Amino acid sequence: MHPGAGRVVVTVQGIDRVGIVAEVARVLAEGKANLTDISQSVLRDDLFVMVAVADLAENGAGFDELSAALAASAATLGVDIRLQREEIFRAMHRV
Amino acid sequence: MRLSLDEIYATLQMVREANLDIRTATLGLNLQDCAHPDGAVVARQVGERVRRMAERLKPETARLSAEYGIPIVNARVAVTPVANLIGNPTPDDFIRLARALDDAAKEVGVDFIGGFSALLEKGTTRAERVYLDALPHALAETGRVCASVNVASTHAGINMDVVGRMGRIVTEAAALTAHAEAIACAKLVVFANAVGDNPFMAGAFHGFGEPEAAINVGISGPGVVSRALDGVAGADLGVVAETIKRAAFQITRAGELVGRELSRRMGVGFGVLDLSLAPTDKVGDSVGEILEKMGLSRVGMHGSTAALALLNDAVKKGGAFASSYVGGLSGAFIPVSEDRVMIRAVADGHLTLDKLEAMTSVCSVGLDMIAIPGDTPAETIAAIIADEAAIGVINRKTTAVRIIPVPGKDVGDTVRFGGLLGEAPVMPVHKESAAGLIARGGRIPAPLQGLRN
Repeated sequence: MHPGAGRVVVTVQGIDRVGIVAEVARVLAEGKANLTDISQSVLRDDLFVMVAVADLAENGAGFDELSAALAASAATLGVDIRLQREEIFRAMHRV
Repeated sequence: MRLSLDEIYATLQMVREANLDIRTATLGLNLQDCAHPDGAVVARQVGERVRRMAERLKPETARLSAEYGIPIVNARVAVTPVANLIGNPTPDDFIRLARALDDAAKEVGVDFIGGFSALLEKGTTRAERVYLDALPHALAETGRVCASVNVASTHAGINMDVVGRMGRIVTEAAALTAHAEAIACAKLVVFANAVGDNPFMAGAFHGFGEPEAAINVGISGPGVVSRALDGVAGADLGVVAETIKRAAFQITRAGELVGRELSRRMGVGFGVLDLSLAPTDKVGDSVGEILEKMGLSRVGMHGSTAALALLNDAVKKGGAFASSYVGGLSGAFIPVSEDRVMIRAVADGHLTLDKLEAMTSVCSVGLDMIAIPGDTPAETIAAIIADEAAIGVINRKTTAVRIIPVPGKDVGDTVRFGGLLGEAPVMPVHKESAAGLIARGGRIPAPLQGLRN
């Protein structure tokens, strides 16, 4: 398997503003990561939270590359973006 | 099956707010084939082995930590007990070996390397007696080398000759590092029923019967357990136990995943997962806090032993289900200097050495990171070790003593060790003497509990 391939979870938290979803989707698409699930809401009028699940492609951006690209977006948008492998969530919550 | 948002947020919250982390990934290394009659050859071979095998440990743990989003706080190395590696040693040979381990640890970037150890529960060989002569100097002259000596087991009884000797060695190690708060003693553990797959320092070593190399993982997460208890305020203790089990399950699963993936990437077999709740001096990352949340106004009060027994057992039950191979020490640690709530209870006079000793009979390990007055007689230190060993031997569990008689310090002073080792208020010890008991020497026979065949 491509060292970067596999399913990842992107979580975003921060003050709401225009273009957060678009920016995350753009970075994922550029890295050929296929977005399979997305959920977002705005809490208490201004706290933006989003969770997206994506599959990293064999011929796309690797974990490190994508992580760096999202860190750059996070800095531009002024929000917190984390990229993590999905296994950790599955291990902790499923028997 | 699709992950729910709740599940994803629960994990994120555990890391961000409740200090969930993997406390240590420890690479155990066999050094038996580095044995040689010439101490210089041993030191060279051991240094080369550690550098070659542990080279990728730090980079791989850093990478895994980033990919899973869970901090792996420490990466460490544990080696075969060194006392048996040199055929015809002099004390200088052991000091050279300690320096070789120290240098190799520095080069591969690990803060502690364990296994400067000896298993002496039943008797000592000539080489092991030379090792004991060199031990305080080796600890004083190196920064990263951790030592442990097993002085008792349920099968062999308590080797009181070595217990007495360890009292003097602790005193000497303290004197040699009097300029640095007796830091050498913080790197020396005296065990009963030591285990060869414990990933936690300072007591980690790669035991006999272990494979060539193994990754052993120590999990943590007192903060996660403490948070979980916030949700069951006022509920009965059955509910408390169940809540702790669930939290322990989740923490352990994270550790298991990281351990297996690390061992795959390092090309080294997965050993065990050690389910120990290990506190740090961060706010909220405290075993003492969990006990107080159960309903004690201060840890150290009557009821503390019962609360700790519940915690320790529930952690094991939740964890054992979550991991295929549980081992090491597995339980709750109560190192005074590394736990803010414990430090406060000692400073306020609510938690005494005697109560701590009682608590060690129901949790993992023992009297850990305890500062005592610098003028405590060596025989008293030996007697503290003997008491702790007796608890371990009779209860068929591991116990340990890591005690620091700080030169020039007395009750009322606080000692700051720095870094992970934290700070400790100096605790009073009993003033009457146990010198007569210690001077008798010999071996306390194995108890009936050891005759299980």
